[in-house]
Amino acid sequence: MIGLLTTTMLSQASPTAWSIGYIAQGVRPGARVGLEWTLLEAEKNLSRRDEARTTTRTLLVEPALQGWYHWGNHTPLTASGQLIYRRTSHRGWSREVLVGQGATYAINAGLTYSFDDSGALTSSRLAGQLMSATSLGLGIGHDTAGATLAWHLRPTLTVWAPYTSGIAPVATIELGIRRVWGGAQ
Amino acid sequence: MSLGLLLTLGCTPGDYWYFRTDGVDLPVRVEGNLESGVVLLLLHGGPGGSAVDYNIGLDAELLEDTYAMAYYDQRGQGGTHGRFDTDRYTVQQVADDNANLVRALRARYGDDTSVWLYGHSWGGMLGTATLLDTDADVDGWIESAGSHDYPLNDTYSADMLRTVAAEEIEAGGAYTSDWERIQRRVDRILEDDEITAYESVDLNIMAYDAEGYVDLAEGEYGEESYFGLFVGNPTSLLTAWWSGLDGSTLLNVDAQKISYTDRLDEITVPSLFLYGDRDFICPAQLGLDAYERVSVEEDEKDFILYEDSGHSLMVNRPRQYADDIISFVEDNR
Repeated sequence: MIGLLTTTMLSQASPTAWSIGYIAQGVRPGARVGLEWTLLEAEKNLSRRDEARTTTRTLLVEPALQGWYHWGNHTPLTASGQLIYRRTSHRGWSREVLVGQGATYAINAGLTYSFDDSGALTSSRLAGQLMSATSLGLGIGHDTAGATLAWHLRPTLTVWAPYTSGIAPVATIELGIRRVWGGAQ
Repeated sequence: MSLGLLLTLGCTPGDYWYFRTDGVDLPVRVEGNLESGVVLLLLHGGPGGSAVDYNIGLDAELLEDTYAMAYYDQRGQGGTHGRFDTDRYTVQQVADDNANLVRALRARYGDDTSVWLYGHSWGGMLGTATLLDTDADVDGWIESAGSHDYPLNDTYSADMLRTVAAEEIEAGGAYTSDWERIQRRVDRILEDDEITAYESVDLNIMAYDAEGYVDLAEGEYGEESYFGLFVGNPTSLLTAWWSGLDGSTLLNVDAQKISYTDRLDEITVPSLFLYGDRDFICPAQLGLDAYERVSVEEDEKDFILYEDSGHSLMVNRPRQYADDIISFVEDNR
């Protein structure tokens, strides 16, 4: 569903922002890049005393690429589409809920050996596992520079499947920045 | 101590690779003295554990000084990857993985490499299964506080808990009320002829508790840092814990029925049995049974009982433990 939505948006309109972030799985470092497309946006105006307050609610779709390096284990590379609901206050603070679906190819660290049909031990540098990746994340952030630049902090739980005899949960946290494409929205 | 050094301590140099077999990629970490021509293949405890737990500690450091240690995570546990059918997830399948890994170690390090199986706790079940039900060609077997017979293990645990509970209650020490609780629960379990799977788990929990109520040798730690291991840990703790739950359940269900005692005479390789005298989890009587039953000449087998040592006897007596293994391997390699 999210993948289909992402594909549709990619073919129809220009992205509204790009983001880049440092991502960490535990103490393992990684990076993430994404492009945002706005699907829906609504503003709510409130007048308090002499001050007008505008709260913005935005529904976005974001294709993203991410990966991290886990020493001695693997390097998982993920391509995913995310649906993001973002609520931004009049002071620029934002809260997000993110739901994602994608695919992960986790490259084993070092060489992977196996016996071939003739019984000889062979090795591969890029052997790994392909899994589906379903994620649920929360985010907080803040707009700066006239709402053209924002930072965000997003803890996310991803479930890989299939993984050994079932599924596997993976927790990550991202500290990133978002730049609105071509200026303020 | 700098962060860099701490990281380094958790990432001991070694030969790290994966072995792909029957749907899984098993992480293999070979550390220590490969020039010795001897590799001890560590079969970790659990099920649901990881070989990383055995890769720290003074005993591991001393063994690595002399031999190469191959630490690997068993199918579905620790840092293994891949996917497989749970219907075939049995002790036999993990034993087959061990046999294939023995072949892989020789293919990688030379046909003349002396490969020994070295199993702790649950690894005792797997090592015995590998020796009895696969074509693994190994040079020797080291069983450390191993359980090669779940039903008999339960009986011995219950007997030991009841005996020690009676002694401790009579002595009136600080844990008298805890021992009375254990005594009541064990008596209830032994009221019936058969110990159920639930009661087996209960005995296991009590056995772990009981180790906390007796005096054990304090032990001695090595130079490798636990913090460094945490930072540089090759397994994801959350992922390993989660997937290990499934592995633990499925393999324990299979192992619950397995009793190798009557087949131990089929073991013909040099065999060393190491047990702690205060181990309620896998009581020393298991090792003594195995020592008496294996079909090996007297000078090619040994049973060693460690005083004031529990299930983690390598922690309680690391120097003696490593010395005994090295001495036995040297005599029989």
